[in-house]
Amino acid sequence: MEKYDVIVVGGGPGGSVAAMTAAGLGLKTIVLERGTRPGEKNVSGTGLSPKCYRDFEFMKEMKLPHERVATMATLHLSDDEAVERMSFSFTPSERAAYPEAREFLTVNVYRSELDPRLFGLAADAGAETRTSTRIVGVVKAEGGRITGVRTDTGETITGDIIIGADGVISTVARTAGIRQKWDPSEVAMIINIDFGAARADIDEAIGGNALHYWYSSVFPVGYSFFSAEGFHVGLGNYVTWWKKSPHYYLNRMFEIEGVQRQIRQCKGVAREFQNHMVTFLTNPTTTYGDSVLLVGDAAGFACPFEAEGVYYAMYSGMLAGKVAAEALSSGDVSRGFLSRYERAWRDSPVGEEFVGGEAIDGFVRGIGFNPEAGRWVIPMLNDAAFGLLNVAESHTASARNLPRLLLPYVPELARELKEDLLPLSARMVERPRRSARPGLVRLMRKALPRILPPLARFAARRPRSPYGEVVGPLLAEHFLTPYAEERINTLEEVERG
Amino acid sequence: MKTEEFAGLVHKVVPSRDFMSVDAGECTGCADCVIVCPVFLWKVREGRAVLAADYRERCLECGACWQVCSSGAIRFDFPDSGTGIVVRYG
Ligand SMILES: Cc1cc2nc3c(=O)[nH]c(=O)nc-3n(C[C@H](O)[C@H](O)[C@H](O)COP(=O)(O)OP(=O)(O)OC[C@H]3O[C@@H](n4cnc5c(N)ncnc54)[C@H](O)[C@@H]3O)c2cc1C
Ligand code: SF4
Ligand code: SF4
Repeated sequence: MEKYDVIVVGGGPGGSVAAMTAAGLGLKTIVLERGTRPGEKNVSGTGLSPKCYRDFEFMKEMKLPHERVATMATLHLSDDEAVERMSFSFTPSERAAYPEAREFLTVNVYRSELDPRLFGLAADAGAETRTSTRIVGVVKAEGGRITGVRTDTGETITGDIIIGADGVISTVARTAGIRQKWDPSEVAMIINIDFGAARADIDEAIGGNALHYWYSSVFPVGYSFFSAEGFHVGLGNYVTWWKKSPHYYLNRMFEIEGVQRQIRQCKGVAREFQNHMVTFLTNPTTTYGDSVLLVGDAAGFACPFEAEGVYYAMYSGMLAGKVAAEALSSGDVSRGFLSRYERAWRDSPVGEEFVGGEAIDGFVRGIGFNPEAGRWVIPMLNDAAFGLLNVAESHTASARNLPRLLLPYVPELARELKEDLLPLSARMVERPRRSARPGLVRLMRKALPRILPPLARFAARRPRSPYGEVVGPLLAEHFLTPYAEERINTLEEVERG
Repeated sequence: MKTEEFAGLVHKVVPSRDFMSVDAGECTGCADCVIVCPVFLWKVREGRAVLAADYRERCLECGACWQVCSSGAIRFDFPDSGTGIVVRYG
């Protein structure tokens, strides 16, 4: 019987890049996809990040028929009544770190075009490719050693290393005993409606402003992403989050005039209804086992902030292909040897994405995926913009009014800053493994005790002013105590002293 | 326009064999599957989850019901090779 060095299960971006890499390194490789054509089981919001083009030579030459380059993204904020209150856009920075990042935000594509291309590149690199082949599990020899995989027609395919690139519902991970299904708190589902439209109409209505995020206090964060001749409108949240049918929330999103206007102006016609899960992990811990490497969604590598996963699947696929080659040349496919896969991905952009894992998770659960938070975040941002820019009164009067507009939001903002945003920025800026105590936190601990007590004292001296009533106690509650315990304990002490 | 109206916009090669089922003995009737399924294939009757008879024609193979079921009552496999959902614009 034919024996492979590497069997890749799943012909998505992770599997194809893994197969391409393994075959390119001279390994006898086969990649197996359950669909009749790669991509036909897969759904994305459609955005490929500049990282894909920075790190993969083959992406630089890839031009897909229906891609649209997004050079601008817009965030729309709507209130309880699904009325849009505010929006703002951004474009790539001229000082971004590398050329692609200076040129575009994403390239929006369809998986039915991307996946077959990547699959074809794996074949070009020398991998054997098979579609319409569903794997029901790994095959174990007596003693438990994994020797291959079995298809749903009962065929056994034998190989030394199995790369599980079979997505969020990974059969390989489960049958190899690496994990059972994800904890429900770690998985989100995203529902999408795909609309078709004429290229000229999207060019006219949208152009390069092709990534729209919709945040509100009535539905979880949603999006409308535009490719050349179509667009996706959808939203998602953790599988355990929904209190009503996802359609209830999607309908609320569709009530927004701005969403309807986009569909109208593009003359969009609904073509397809889609739903797919994606992981939201703080820290992937089940990524390999004896004879098995997991890549992409099977490993839980989608970014926990925006669900970007194609790049992480491709990158981890490349690393898995390389580690497989090392393992085979040293004749050791044990868990022990394959642990260098985890070292490799932790040391790569994949691992970097999870450095702030828990803090990102806090932010996503606290604000991003939490419409409740929209009740104060959205009016606050709007009132700040209004307070600064309105012409309802003289600018002097507006400036005087600003605190009155914004003070009601201070308690929530202070809580959010303390619980999520400050830890988040501290974790992201620092590399915790290299310094015992993150420097930003250290800096804050040094600076805040100096800045805050005078502020608190100032506030305390004006008990009847809004500052004294609101800001003073808040500073004391949230910042003074934790950061300057030894110097000033409570606001009362400030007042007494 | 209601988004539910689009739930039937699905392309399929209808699988000839079952790929999902529910174990009534394990099911607690919590209805989590009913809530998440975006194409309305689950109902709770007499305290137990029931899967729509024509689910093979409408299921998106998303696995959300299986994932959310905390009592492990739902068995979910992908349909046979080369059958099931065909996402054209994913
Ligand atoms: C709605 C949505 C929007 C998203 N938007 C974006 C985005 O805009 N940008 C982005 O970068 N990422 C996005 N993501 C995440 C991204 O889609 C995934 O992270 C990415 O597809 C992971 O790639 P993969 O190769 O690991 O797995 P997949 O793309 O899931 O591929 C797995 C493959 O394995 C096959 N397979 C599964 N089981 C078996 C089996 N038993 N036997 C044989 N074959 C099998 C499947 O058919 C599939 O082709 C989004 C995700 C969702 C759900
Ligand atoms: S989620 Fe599981 S336990 Fe709850 S009703 Fe559905 S099948 Fe039964
Ligand atoms: S797999 Fe998805 S579409 Fe199918 S029944 Fe379960 S939730 Fe519904």
